[in-house]
Amino acid sequence: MSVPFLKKNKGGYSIKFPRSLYPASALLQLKDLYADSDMIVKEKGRYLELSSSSWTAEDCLAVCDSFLYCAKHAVQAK
Amino acid sequence: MHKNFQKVDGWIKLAVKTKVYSLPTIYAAGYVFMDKAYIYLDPDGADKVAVWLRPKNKKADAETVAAEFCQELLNYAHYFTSLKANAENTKILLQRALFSAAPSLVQEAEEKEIQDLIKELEQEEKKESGKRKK
Repeated sequence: MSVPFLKKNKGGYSIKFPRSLYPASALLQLKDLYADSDMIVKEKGRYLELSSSSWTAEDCLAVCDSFLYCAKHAVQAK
Repeated sequence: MHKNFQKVDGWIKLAVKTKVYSLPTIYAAGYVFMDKAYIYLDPDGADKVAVWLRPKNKKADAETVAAEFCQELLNYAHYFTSLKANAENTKILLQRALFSAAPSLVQEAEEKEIQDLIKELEQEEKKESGKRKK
């Protein structure tokens, strides 16, 4: 799955999201949703990189779904 | 393949101009499409958003799903435009409905409006008298 936002690391997969389109308030909500997971969030310039040693590519896509859901509601709330 | 669609490893990438489809429209269309496809958004220059789509059903044709997404964008663009155009009428209708249920509210609203007008007039008189003294 060689798309620019999905990356296979030594342990698990990571996915990056642009901060301009996935706001901070959405990230807070996403962290709540993934509170029980070992998700790591790193700021990489204009992007946020979300990763976990246990994530597969499909897990990253599920995160993509959740983050879009959170972003949509965050934008609506403004 | 539609000229605005780019196929990348099972994904379709399409560039959406934010001047034509606002960000709330893109989010709304993406949200509705979450059961059909994985949606990823990325800025594409200053005035576009790249929408990446991958159908969740592996048998589905990605290009068809992308075309359906474009339809949904148009649907929500129309919805938000109508919402904005009808906002004032909706407000009036709601006020009428509310006031018909509680007529005393009409009197209270009118009294408040009169008091606000009196305050405005008093402030204007003060300004005028201040100017005359100079």
